[in-house]
Amino acid sequence: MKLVVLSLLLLLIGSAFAQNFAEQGNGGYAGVNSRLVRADDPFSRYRYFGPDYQYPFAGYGSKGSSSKNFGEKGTTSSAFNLDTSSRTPQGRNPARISNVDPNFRGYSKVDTSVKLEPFTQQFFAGQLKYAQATARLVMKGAAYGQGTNEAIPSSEVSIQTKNLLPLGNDNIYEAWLVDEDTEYALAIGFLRSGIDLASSLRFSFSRSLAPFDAVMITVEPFPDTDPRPGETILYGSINPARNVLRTSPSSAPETLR
Amino acid sequence: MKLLVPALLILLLSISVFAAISEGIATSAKVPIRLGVSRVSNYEPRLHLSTLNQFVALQPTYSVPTLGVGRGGASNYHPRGSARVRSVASYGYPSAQVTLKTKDLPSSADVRGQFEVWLIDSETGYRLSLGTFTTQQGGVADFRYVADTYLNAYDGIEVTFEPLDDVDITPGPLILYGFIKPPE
Repeated sequence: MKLVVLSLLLLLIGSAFAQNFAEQGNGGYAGVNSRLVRADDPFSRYRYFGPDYQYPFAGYGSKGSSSKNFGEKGTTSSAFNLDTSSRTPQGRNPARISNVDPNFRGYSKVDTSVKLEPFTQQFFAGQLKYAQATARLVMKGAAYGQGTNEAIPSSEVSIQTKNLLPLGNDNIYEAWLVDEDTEYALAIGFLRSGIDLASSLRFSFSRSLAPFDAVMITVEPFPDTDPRPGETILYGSINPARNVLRTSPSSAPETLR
Repeated sequence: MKLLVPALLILLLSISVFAAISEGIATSAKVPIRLGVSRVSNYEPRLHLSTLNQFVALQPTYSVPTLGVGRGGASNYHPRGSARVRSVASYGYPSAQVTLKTKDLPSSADVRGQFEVWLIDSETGYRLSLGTFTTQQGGVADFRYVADTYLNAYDGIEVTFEPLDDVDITPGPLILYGFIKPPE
């Protein structure tokens, strides 16, 4: 009797171990058993979803993105009223689902381009050289304490020039931001010359670009004891940003509100 | 063996001694010191800008009435700041950095305003706006300016008070000021 009970116990313990090992092998990815299972049944999603399962038609795997993306709200937001957030750019698709509210000004951002025109025609090696430049001005977070703005506004000015004549060692091109109302020019740095009469400047600082009306490039002696601007070579007016013209929602017609 | 090592050492040393005393081999001891007009150097006075690198202590233009702390102690609330102005030219291209720290200024959230940093050239009266910053509680702020320029012409640094939505470039009331010593 004792022998039977003992052998039964041993049998039970052994089978429990075996079952345990088998379950571990099926559940995981690594290991011989899992590899064998995958080799035997590669389409294991049938086991989990069944043969009638269909993938969702749109927005698979995404519901509620990070709140940093404009127009997409987090799942915890009470304003999130959509099933999913669309992740693909859909152009003018009228069926596009979006949370974008054009009157919502969560993050102040200005991104404009300026074309700089020459003041005078210049000849170099017998050829007329039409000096030109473009500037890109990006300003972020310039509204303190509103929406998701940062406390300190940051602005970035990138300038690319072409056909600016070489100046030698005694002069250097300098870029400026100009406020036409007060006739104040703010120096933002010297242009570093590149190949084939091209030069560029990238300047960023923690300041609003709101007061400035134009971008200017001048010639300065180098070194210069006078920090005021010298002879103007290129000048371009900054167009007012589009959100300057935008009316407030309260002044919109009743039907659009 | 005992003799070999010292002999080798003596041999090696004697080579340099031989080079130093023999004709036709240039050593540093033999380069003639040319002074005055005959001096040859790579120094280019037109491209050379003197390096500016100094700390400036910023003084307040106003004083805060001492309220005291408890038993006869005086509050050490004192608006102040410090700036490091650095301007270096290398290979003909200049680069400049200004870092500024403040303490005990009014906090931006309280006074609904921000502060603007200026470099002043008193000769021409030109003011270079370096940017704006906001202060936290305790008037603490950390400001940084980096540009491809040189700051040798400037002899003063100022911090002014501006409204938060500042569309006017003209400086507001002066808060802190300091003087930059002219570079040698």
